[in-house]
Amino acid sequence: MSAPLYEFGYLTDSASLAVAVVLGFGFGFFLERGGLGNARKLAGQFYLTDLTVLKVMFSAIVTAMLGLFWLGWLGIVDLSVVYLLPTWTVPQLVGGLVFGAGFVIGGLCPGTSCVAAATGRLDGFALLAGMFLGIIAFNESYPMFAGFYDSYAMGQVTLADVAGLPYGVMVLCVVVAAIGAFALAERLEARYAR
Amino acid sequence: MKYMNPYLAGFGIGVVLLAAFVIMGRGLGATGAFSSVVAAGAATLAPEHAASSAPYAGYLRGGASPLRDWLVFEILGVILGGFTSARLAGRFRFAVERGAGVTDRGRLLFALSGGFIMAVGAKLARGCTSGQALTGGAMLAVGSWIFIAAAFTAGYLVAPLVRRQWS
Amino acid sequence: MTVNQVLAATAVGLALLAPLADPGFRTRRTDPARVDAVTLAEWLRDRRPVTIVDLRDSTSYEEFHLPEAVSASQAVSGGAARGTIVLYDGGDGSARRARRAYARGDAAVLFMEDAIGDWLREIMNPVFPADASPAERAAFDRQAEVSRYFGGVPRIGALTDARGARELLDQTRRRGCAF
Repeated sequence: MSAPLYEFGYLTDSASLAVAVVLGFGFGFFLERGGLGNARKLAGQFYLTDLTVLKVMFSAIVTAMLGLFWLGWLGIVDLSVVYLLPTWTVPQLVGGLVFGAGFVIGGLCPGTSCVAAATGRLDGFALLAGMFLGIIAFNESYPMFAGFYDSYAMGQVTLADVAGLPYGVMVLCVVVAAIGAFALAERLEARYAR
Repeated sequence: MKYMNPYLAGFGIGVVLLAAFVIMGRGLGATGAFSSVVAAGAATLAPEHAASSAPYAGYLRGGASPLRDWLVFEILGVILGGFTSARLAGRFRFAVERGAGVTDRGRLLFALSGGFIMAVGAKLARGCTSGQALTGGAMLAVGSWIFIAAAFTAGYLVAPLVRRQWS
Repeated sequence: MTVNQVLAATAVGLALLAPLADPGFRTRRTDPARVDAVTLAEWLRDRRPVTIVDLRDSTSYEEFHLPEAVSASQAVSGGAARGTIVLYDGGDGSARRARRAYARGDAAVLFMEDAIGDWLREIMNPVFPADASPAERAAFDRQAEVSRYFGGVPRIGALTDARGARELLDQTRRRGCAF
């Protein structure tokens, strides 16, 4: 096993920054290709008229998830070295609710707002400005809820861990659920799209 | 030019995300880059405050700066990639995306507010759709999937309230 | 077949095979691959079996190294090390490159980023903000305690944390605490 390449010393820190730009380029490129740089298209997700967000997001998740599983199984990637985001159940639940509300109000997410701005959309710039203000506001009021912020920590846990299922079975469940969601999305769009 | 098949676009993003895991051992992100820039701005404009306040200090430890921050460079790439795709497709245009139900100014105000609210949510959740939903989702992290479910739920609940933005 | 059908078939195919894959491949450790100065300091204080390997050149090693660290140039091979192995370098990535040489099936190999700087900042010269929340203060107390164990001098203040390792080393030396 000699991947992740950076974690095994194959990349210098400068090289990793160059990699960041290249990966970001791919990310932004495909986001725009899919139309996610357009707030109206994105908002359609929440009115059931255009479910592109769901299709793109879960296609990406499934692709990377399957890729990670099989590259791990092949021994090409050392999964124990890939950084698993830790879990704080309630803060992330509340954060998700707040984020989702902001998402439909703003019409773009942080990543897609960069794409929107890069394609000339002024609402993308406005959203970015709002984000900077929001980050400052959060940082300044942090002492008030520092306790909540760190609460309900579960550490690095996966769905497989909490469900008591093997990793491979969990992967299958997610793919089945995703395909089901895609089928539903096609139906809803056929019904509600203008 | 027509948009790409969303499943294919998603597949493309998935490959990029997978490449990030394989090359760097980490996923993609967005909000972290902005936090880093904010922290750097604070360090320049109000250094004592930044150093003594936990959220800023976390981004400044050990002399870190946005000039060396991975996510900041990734976001630069996102901007370039989005721009390139738009130019190739003839979709670059200075405009405000909105429906007929609001003015340009109204839409921009919505965007500003939405960005503000999302930032708070993303900070609480330790990430946004890129960092939590995509990255954590692909790794089956529990908190990330909680985030996905919560974000979609809230989106659907709040959508009727801002419908006029889009119609 | 359409593109969508190809994508779906591939995904479903790979997913159906997944439960059959040998579950023995390592997925995730319980410890993260990074260790910070405070945690390492507590391990040393509590006499946990840990081997620290300094991968910098011998001159840097002689000047200052983490307590109980051995220099890679003299270090025992992975087989003779006890317990957890902690690697650190001077920022050139040599610790990560050395990972495979030190990896043993049973023990964790951990890294410390900016180990010298981190140790000098967090253990020998920690500075705590005055406006900490109760939860943060508890963490700071824990850090201050282990800092004093190693001869550090905890302080309350608002120094910017961009103090370089060189500056801190001189500061620590002047107190007569470097070893």
